Order: sequence, then structure tokens, then C-alpha cells
Amino acid sequence: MRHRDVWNMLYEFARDELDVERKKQVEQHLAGCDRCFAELQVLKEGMRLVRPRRRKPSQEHSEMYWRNFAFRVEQRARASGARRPLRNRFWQDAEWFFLIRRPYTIAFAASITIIVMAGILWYGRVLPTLKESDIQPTGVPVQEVNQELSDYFHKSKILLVGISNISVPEGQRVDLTVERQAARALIRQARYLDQRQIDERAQYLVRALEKILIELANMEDEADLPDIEIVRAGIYQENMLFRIRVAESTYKESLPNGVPQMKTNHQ
Amino acid sequence: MSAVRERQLVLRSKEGDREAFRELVKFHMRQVYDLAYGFVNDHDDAEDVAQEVFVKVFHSIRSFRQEAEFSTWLYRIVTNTSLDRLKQRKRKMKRQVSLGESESMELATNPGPIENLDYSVHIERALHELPTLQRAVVILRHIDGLPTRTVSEILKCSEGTVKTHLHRGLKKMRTLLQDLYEE
Repeated sequence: MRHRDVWNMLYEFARDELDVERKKQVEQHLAGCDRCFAELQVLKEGMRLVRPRRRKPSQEHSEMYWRNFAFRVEQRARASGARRPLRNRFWQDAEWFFLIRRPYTIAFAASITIIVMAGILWYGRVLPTLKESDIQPTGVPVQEVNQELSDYFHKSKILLVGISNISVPEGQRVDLTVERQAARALIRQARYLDQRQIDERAQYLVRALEKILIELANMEDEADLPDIEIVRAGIYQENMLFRIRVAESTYKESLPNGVPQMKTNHQ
Repeated sequence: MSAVRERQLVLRSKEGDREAFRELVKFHMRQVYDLAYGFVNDHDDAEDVAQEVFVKVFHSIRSFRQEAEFSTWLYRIVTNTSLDRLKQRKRKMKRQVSLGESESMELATNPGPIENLDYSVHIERALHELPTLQRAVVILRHIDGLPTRTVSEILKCSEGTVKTHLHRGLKKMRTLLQDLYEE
């Protein structure tokens, strides 16, 4: 058992929450490892000092306060709900106007119909006919989505390879500002892709990748080796680099020229 | 409240049943308040956050897909809303400082000499010395006693990350609190 694995279990060990087998493994390791044993003592001391609150903050308020709490929430919800329809007030006024001015309504409806018909005719002439196979159920061309997926996996691969290869001397910190910015941009792109009805396998991979990117984005600007190790562990555990490479080549092959074109970030 | 009962209440709330929603609020309000307080460390802010959380739930419960537990979803909203509040507070403080009101800033961040404060106040202050994710993990896992898996679902990170941050957070808290405890 590695020290890091033991350290990750020390909290549950100290609280006696491990199952019998793992508890035995940790005990065996601790019996022969002074470093981990000392770490356990430090952690126990921390747990003793940061004991859960004896008196919960909610107990500072009277029963009357809590009896009225739900009522206050409802009032606030109603108030915020009441503000929302104001946005639709324009439509309410418009509806009322059309209701009382019938001739204008008919004239307005006729002109809208003419505009729409003209638009349809023009649109039909300008756009080339798309094959049925090029269209997803949502109306988004398959190639466009594949292009975006390929682009997303390509960028993610570059970032994760960079993180995997980064070398940090023991006890020093490295600046990860650029990596964090890139991770944030990719998270935004992942969320955008998630709404585009991509296939189930790609969706699963995008979501698994998003977790790692969130960890990276949440790191401090300057990170030390253990911080980076957390992200690396996520990459290795999920076998992420291999999966991304496979996905990238799959979507790249489906493109006509086989080369992904870099796109700007989706805000 | 049993899981089945909670599920029923969520379903009824989704259909617009106010009575069911009220019952959900009554059941979770204290936990939501305690959790929010752990983050914002102020009763007024905790009340405001708790109310805001339930308002958000009220408006978005229809989009809750019941893939996760309702409480996990709720705690995620509490965590996000509390962190947003802390960001707002930080921005406000910066503005105050830039306007030259350094005195009010000092009052807010330095409540008084250590010996005049209750031990729990020191814990709250030490908690706020931790980085955001570490603080969230210590509050949810150690102080509120939620299982590691639930915490990882709330914070959308792996269980390994939760364990690592908990370990580090408690060690840092020990360093911060040890001197005081020895006294």
C-alpha cells in the first residue's frame, strides 16, 4: 500500500468508518511506517481541535423564528415570481391592444404572414439542400458537431499532456495561471457541447473530463507537487489520455478533410 | 423524513403543490441554515442565503431530474449560493478599501483580541483561512458529517480529492488552532 493511499484513508480510519479488510490493511501499514503513524497523530489532533459544533447556529434562533421561516421564503418566492412576469408585460399590453383594435390586428397578421412567406422563399433559394444523413434530430449538422467535439478533445489532450509532463522540484511551486484559464475555457466549451445533443459515449467522456478540468480550474494560481498530483491521479485513474486520443481520432476521421479546425471559445 | 416521503413531496412540489414545498422547507431549513452559516459565518447573511436557496429551489424544482438525492441537490445550491455571497462580500470589502474606508474593513476582519473570543469563534475564523474548496470539504465532511460520496457529488469532484482536501484542511486548522488550544 502506498503512503498516499493510506493518508487518504486515515480520516475514516480515525473515525472507525473503514470496513474490516481495509482497516486491517491500514493497521498493518501503520505498524511498520513511522511516517504514516505520525501523520495519523497529526490528523487526530486536528480532528480533536476542530470538533463539530456543540451548539448549532440554527439554535440561536427561537422556535417562533423557525415557525415563520417557510412563510418568509414563500413571500420572497412570490415577490421574485411577481417581478418575473413584468418582463412579459409587453406581451400582455400587446395582446390587449390587438384585442380591442381588430382591424389593426388583421392588418398586422397579414403583413407578418407576407414577411414570413417571403423569408421562406428566399431561404429556400439561398440554402443548399442538405442530405437527411447530415442532419441531427435537433437540426444541427452532424459534421459541425463532430468538428466541435474533435476540436474540444484536441485542446483537452494538449492541456492534460502538459499537466502530466510538468516537472515540479520538491518543495517548490509552479505558476498554473495559463493552465487554469485554459481549463475554464474548456469547461465552458464542455457545457456548450452538453447542450448540443452529442452521442451518449461522447457525452459520458465530456462529463468525466469536465470533473478533471474543474479540479484544475479550482487550484490556486501557484501549485506545488501534491496539488498537481491530485489532478494527475484523476487523469490516470480515468485513463483519460487514452480515451481522449481515441475519441479525437474517431471524430477527426468522420470529418471530410480529417483535420480539426481550431475554433474560438464558446462563452 | 423517509426517502419515499421526500420523493413524494418533491414530485408534488414539481406539480406546483405549495403545501408539499412548505413541508420540504420546514424539514430542511435548519440544516440549510447551519450549512450556510458554516460558509458565511454571519447570522444575517446565513438567513439571507438560506432564504435565497429555497427561492431558487422553488423556481427550479421542475428542472430537478431526481437522478441524485434531493438533499444532495439542495446542498449543492447552498454551497454555490454561499460561495457567491462570500465573493460578493470580498468585492464589497475591496470597494470599501479603495474608497479609503479602511477602518470599517479592519472592524470586519479583526473582531478583537483573541482572549476575548469564544473558542468556536476561533474555529470559524481559522476555517475562513482555508482555501475555498478545503473549507467546503471540512465543513461538509467533518463539521456536518456528510459521507465522502455525498460531498464529492455536492462539490462535483472525485472522492479522492475530497479526502486529500479534508486531510490537508484539518492539518492546517490544527496548525492555526494549536497555539490557542495550548493556552
